[in-house]
Amino acid sequence: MYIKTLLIFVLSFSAYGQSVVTTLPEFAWVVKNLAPNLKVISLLEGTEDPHFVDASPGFVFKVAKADLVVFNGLQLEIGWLPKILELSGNEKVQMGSKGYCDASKDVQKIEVLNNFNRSMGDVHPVGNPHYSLSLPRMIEAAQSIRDCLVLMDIDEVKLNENYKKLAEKLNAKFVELKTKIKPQNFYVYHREFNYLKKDFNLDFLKSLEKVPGVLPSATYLSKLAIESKKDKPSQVLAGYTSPRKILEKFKELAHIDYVKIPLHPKPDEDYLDFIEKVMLQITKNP
Amino acid sequence: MKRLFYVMLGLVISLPIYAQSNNQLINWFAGADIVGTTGSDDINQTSDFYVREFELSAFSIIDQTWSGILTLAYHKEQITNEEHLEVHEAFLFSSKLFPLANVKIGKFFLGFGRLNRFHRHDWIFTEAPLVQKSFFGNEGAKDSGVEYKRNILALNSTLSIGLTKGDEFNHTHAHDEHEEGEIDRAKSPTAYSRFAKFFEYSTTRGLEIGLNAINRVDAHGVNYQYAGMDFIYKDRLGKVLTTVVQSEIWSRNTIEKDNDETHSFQDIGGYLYIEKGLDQHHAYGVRYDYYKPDDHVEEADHEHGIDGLEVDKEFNALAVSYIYTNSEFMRTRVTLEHGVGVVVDSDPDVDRFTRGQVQFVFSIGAHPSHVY
Repeated sequence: MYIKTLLIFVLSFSAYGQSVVTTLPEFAWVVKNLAPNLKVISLLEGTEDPHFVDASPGFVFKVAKADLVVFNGLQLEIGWLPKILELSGNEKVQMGSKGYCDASKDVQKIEVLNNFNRSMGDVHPVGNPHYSLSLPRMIEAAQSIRDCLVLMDIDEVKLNENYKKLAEKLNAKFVELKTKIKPQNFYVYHREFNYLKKDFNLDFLKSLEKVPGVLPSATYLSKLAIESKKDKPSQVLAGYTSPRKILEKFKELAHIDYVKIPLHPKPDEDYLDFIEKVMLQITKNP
Repeated sequence: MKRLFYVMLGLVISLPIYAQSNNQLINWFAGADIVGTTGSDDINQTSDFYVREFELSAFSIIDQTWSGILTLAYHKEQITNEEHLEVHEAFLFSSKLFPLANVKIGKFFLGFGRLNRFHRHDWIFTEAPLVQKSFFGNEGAKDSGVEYKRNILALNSTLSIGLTKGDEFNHTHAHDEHEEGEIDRAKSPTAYSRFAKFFEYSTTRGLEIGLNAINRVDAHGVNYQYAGMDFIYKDRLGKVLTTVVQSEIWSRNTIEKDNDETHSFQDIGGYLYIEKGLDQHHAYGVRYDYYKPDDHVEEADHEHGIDGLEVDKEFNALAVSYIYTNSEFMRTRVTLEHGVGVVVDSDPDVDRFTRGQVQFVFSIGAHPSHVY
C-alpha cells in the first residue's frame, strides 16, 4: 500500500509524452486532424460559456502536463487561461514559449475596436472572438495551429498534407452549406453569430442585450418587441448558456420564437457534423 | 505621510504613460473597497462610511525567468480611524524555475487557508470571520519570505510550503505601542504548508479541500501552532455562479514559556458561508461564524486584531448578505449580522451586537482573474 502511494507520488514528478491541451473542443478536433498521433484533450466540453470559466485546479493539472496549449484567443479566455498557465508551473506553455498557441493569429477578425471602454460592456477590442462557427475562419485557425505543431518537431511534410486535406474538407462543407442556406434576418441575444453574416448572407438585425454581457431591462425588451414588428426577424438566435428567462420574456412580448444553439461541439463530436447541425438549426432547414 | 502618498500616487499615475511609450507591457490594476457600517455602538463599531482599502498593483514579466508584482495599498483602520499607506506585496514570481512548480520571493499574502490567499476586496463577504481576524489579522497574514507551490498531478493535488521572517505575520495598525512602521523582530521564522486536493465533478463544478499547518514564534518568544482545513465548492452555469460553499476551520495552540513554567492555550474557530446565485446580477449568501478562545485567554495577553470584538467564552454570529454584481468589475454587497458572546466594557449586561454593512467593490485596469 505504502509502496503504491510512493510510486504514484514519484510518477507525478516524472516526464510525460507529447500531448496537446485545447481550451475548446473544436480546436481539439483540428489538432486530431492535423496530427492524429498526438494525445489531445479539450479543457471545456462545449456547454460552458467560455468567457466565464473559473481557473479550476482540474484545468491546471491538465495544462501542467501539456506540451502545447491551443486557445481561441481574442480575449475569450482572458479571465481564466492566463491564471491556469501561471499555476501550471509548465514552462513549455508559457507566453513566448513554443507550446503557447493562439489559434486566432491568422484569423481575419471582425469588430476590432480602436476606441473602447468598459461602459460598452463585454466587448473584445482586439476582435469578436466567436469565429469558430465560421468554416472559412476555422481554415485560418487551422493554419495557426499547424504553425504551432511544426514547432513540436512533428513531420512537417505530413503536417502540411493533413492541413491541406483539412482545409479542403472545411471548404467543401462550406460550399455545400452555402447552397442550402437561404438569406434570412434574425435577432440575436449576444453577438456570437456575427462571423456567419458574411459567410451565408445572414443578417443579425438587433441584439437583445442593449449592452453586451448585461441583462436587458424590461423597458428595452418592450421597445425591441415594438421594433420587431417592422424588422420581422425570423427568430432569435441565442447561445446555449443565454438566459432562458429573458428569451421567454421577449417571446411573450414580440411573439417571436427563439432557438438556443450550442456554440461549440461536444468533445468527441465531429466539427463538420456539428456545424451542419447548427446551420440547419439556425435556418430551420430540415 | 500624506506627502508620501501623493508622491507615490503621482509616480504610479505617470508610470503607465512611461511604460506604454516604451512598450514595456506592464499590466495595471486598481481596486477599491468602500464600506458603510452601522450598528450598536456598545461594541465600539461606530457608524461610518469610508474607503476601507485602495490598492494599486502593477505586474509584468521581468525577464525569461521571472515576473514581478508590486502592490501599494492605502487602508483605514475602523477602530483607530487611522489611515495607512503600505507595500502590500512586492514579490518575484516564476513558473519556470522548477517543473510543475511556482516560486514566490519577497513580500506577499501567505499561501494557506482560503481567505488568506486572496486580497480582501476579492473576498466573498465584506468582513473577515472572527477566527480570521484573531489568528491572521483583518486583511490576512502577509510577510516576507519564500513560497514554493508544487502540482502533484497523480493525486490531483497541490502542495505549498513557505518560510517567512515572521515579523509581520499578524500585523495590524490598530495597536499603538509602536511608532509608525516599527515592527518587532520575530524570534524564529514562520513556516507553513498547505496540501490541497481537488475533486472535479464537471468542467464547471468542483470541490477543493486544503489542509494547513503553520508554526511561528513571535518577538516575545511565544510559539503559535496552527492547524486548519479550508473548503471551497463551486457550481457554475454560464455566467451564473449558482452555488458556492466556502468554509474554514482553524485551531491555534499557543505555548508560552514563563521562567520554568510552560502555559498552553488552545483557541478554535471557523465559519461556513453558502451563496446562491439567482442570475448574473443577483445572489444572496448566509454565513455562520464561530470562535471559542481558551478559558485562560486573559492570561495570554499577546494577541490582538479582533477589531473591537472581544470574546468572553464563545462567539456565534449569523450574517445574511445580498450581492448585486453590476459587472465583473463592480459589486455591491449588503449584509446584516447578529453576533452573540462578545464582551462589552461599557456595559457588562450586553453580550451581543447587530450591525448592517454596505460595501462597494470595484476595479479598473487589468481584467480580474477568475481564480478558483
